[in-house]
Amino acid sequence: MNLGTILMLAVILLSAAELFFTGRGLVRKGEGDFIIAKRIYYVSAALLFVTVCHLLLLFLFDDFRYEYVFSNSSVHLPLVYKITALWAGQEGSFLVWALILAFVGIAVMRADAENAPMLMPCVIVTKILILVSLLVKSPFDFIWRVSPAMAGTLPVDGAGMNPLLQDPWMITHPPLLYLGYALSVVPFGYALVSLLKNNLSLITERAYPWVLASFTSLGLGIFMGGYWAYRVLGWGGYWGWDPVENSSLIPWLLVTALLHGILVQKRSLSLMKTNVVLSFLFFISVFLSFFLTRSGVLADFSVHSFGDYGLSLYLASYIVFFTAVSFFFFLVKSRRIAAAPLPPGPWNRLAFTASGILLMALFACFVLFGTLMPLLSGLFLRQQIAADSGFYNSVSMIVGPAILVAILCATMPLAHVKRFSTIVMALLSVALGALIIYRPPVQYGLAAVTIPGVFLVLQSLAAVLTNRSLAMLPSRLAHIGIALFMIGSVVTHLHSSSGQGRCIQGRETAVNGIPVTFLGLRGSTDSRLEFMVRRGESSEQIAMKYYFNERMNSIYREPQILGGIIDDIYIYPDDYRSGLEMATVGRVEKGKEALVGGVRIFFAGFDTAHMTSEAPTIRANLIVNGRRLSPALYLKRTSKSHSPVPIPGTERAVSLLDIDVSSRSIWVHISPDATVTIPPDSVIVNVTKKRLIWLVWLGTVLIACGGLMAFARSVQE
Amino acid sequence: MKKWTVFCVIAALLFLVIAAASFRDDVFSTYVPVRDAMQRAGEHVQVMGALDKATIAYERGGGYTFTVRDGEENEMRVYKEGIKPMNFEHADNVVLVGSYNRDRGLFVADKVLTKCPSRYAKGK
Repeated sequence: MNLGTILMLAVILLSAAELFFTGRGLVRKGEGDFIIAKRIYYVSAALLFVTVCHLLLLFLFDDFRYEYVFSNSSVHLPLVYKITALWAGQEGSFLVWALILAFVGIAVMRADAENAPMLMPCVIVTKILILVSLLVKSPFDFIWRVSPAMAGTLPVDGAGMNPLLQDPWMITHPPLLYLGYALSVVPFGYALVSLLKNNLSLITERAYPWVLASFTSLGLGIFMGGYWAYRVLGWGGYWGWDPVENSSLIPWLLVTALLHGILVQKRSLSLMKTNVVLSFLFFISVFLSFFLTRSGVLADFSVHSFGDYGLSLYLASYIVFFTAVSFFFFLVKSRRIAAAPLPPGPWNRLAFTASGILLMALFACFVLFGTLMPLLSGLFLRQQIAADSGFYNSVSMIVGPAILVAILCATMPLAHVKRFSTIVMALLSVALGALIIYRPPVQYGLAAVTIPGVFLVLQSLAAVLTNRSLAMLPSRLAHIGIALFMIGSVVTHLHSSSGQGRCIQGRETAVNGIPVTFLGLRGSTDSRLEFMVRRGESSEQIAMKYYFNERMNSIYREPQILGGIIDDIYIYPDDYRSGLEMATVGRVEKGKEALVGGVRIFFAGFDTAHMTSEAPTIRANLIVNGRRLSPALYLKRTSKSHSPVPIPGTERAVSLLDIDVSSRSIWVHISPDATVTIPPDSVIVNVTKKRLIWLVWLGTVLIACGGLMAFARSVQE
Repeated sequence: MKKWTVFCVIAALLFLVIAAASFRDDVFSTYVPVRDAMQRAGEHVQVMGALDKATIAYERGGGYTFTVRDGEENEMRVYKEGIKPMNFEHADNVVLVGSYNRDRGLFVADKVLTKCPSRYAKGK
């Protein structure tokens, strides 16, 4: 057992003690017990902080005895990424989650001393459960415990961090998500306490700022993940309906529904029970997300390479536990609660908000259904069926416009409907909405998104300009944001164009209408492909990462984005070919003849003498220009080497570069002589024009701004 | 909100979603082996196969092609638009979502998921 494990055990024991004293205090109604529990809580939070610092130090001092450090860091990793490596993997991010949760607990105690004794057990139990799962899959496991083959060796360097994660957006994306997840325990706690105290106004009075904070941090976290995918992954999109993405969207949809539920409850004392249920579902959906993404049940349906971390049973039991607790108290206690009905009326704005809540909850159900589809179909149809993007797009095409209409009806007073300005805005929206989707073959269905979307933007902007009161500003901003986001998605989907071509070094080639000149591959270890891109009168030189990454065991490459008001020009390279290599290197299959560097080579087979020695040697039996030659490949522990064999009658030599056993072929090199012409280098380039994609980013930023402003105001209140 | 209103909203939404989905053929995909994918031409399916790395090639008009195999000597040529995913050459198995086009003799994939052995798994 090492220091890290001892620290984690100590935190678990202290947390159990907190739980004990809090429980005893609640039973005996003794203030003394609460004070003890509070003090223990501070000590355990401090110890958890020390645990995280300990892990951080292991990263900073390159202690590769620890499997987690070995797998996520290396000696030459920049300092900032050694820090963020803390949450680069599952174990570390769970530890960070537990720490954030501990801090949330402190904030809860300070913000609401009256209800803290009843709230804290929720925080403590959640913290204990996370820490228990950390004991199963610990960031403090020694490397030889995880991989017995490594016993007796001390790695001098780590495997390195996945280069995809070495991006500024990845520094903040995970902690923000975990902050949002950790905060979900507060509305959950308030929902339970309000049932126990028969006082459902606690949710509106106390939980609201926490819900806003969770809504904003989760939203920002998801947005940063999407933006990172766009910038780094190279497929040009920001959302792929992958299980990992869906599992963060579901809690966000539920917290958004809860946020609006609280607003309705504040104004009319209705939807009380709905809000309790939404608080429960929001919290449980966080664990469900972890179950879906960390248990490996959907591993075949995701691009993310997560597998079974041995936590499935734990996570599943947590879900069952929290669901049972929530619904037990709800069924026992909720009958005594008499919530007011929604106020009647033909144009009832609160009823429209309630419809919006229902729509968001249903959207979450659809996304969950799609994500669970492979499991459900496997269980009931005995055949695995996955929901494809077409499923999610169909759902979004219906629920999205319905939400926009619900927002419009909920935010626009009835008196405004017949105003001349409203009619003008409506006509303008129809014209603009139709113009946006005009691209043959016209997909008329998309007008359902663009027309109400444009109308919502215009109407909200008009409201912001005419009514200067700050009270409505956050919600107006967020609503403009969601409309812009939806319009932006439609525009980008409809009006983007893509093209592909091979660029020859030094020659200007038009790819998708953009003149691109490939300048060459520069640099050695961190090599880059350099291009000159012409846009109108001006030219811009760009460089894109393109190098062999040991950790991924493949070429690492990054796209380059040239931002613009109309279009983002998104450039992604692949398949760089060195002219020298093309003229001198080739693949020959066993029993076949091939032309390599102008020389005919027949590959008869391998001669695997000395294969059992320390440094095995492989020889390829070749017939080159009618002569038998056997160049050798020397396999050493960490590298390969070869020696050229002269081809008689020429000034050239043949070397065996590599073998590929699966296709029974070899790679050979023929050294060039004066007669060989070396062709120029070339590379495949994909150029996509992303139309108005900034609308999508602007939309998400406005939603986050609305959330932040509302949060700041609710804290002041 | 009255119960029947909630019921009506849910029913209307379900109806509309089903109606919207019925216009598309990429809503659901069944997980099938390579041979079935070729037999069920035109049907949107999900198929896993071993990637033959020697067959990966970019097409002149854009996109790339490659061959996948199952354990029973069935092989299928696959076409995908755009640029290869980053760790494609490294993948042993690939999961393809799309449909087989009998006229072109190709499986036209709209999604390619790569399954890579981690550096660690190799050492084990």
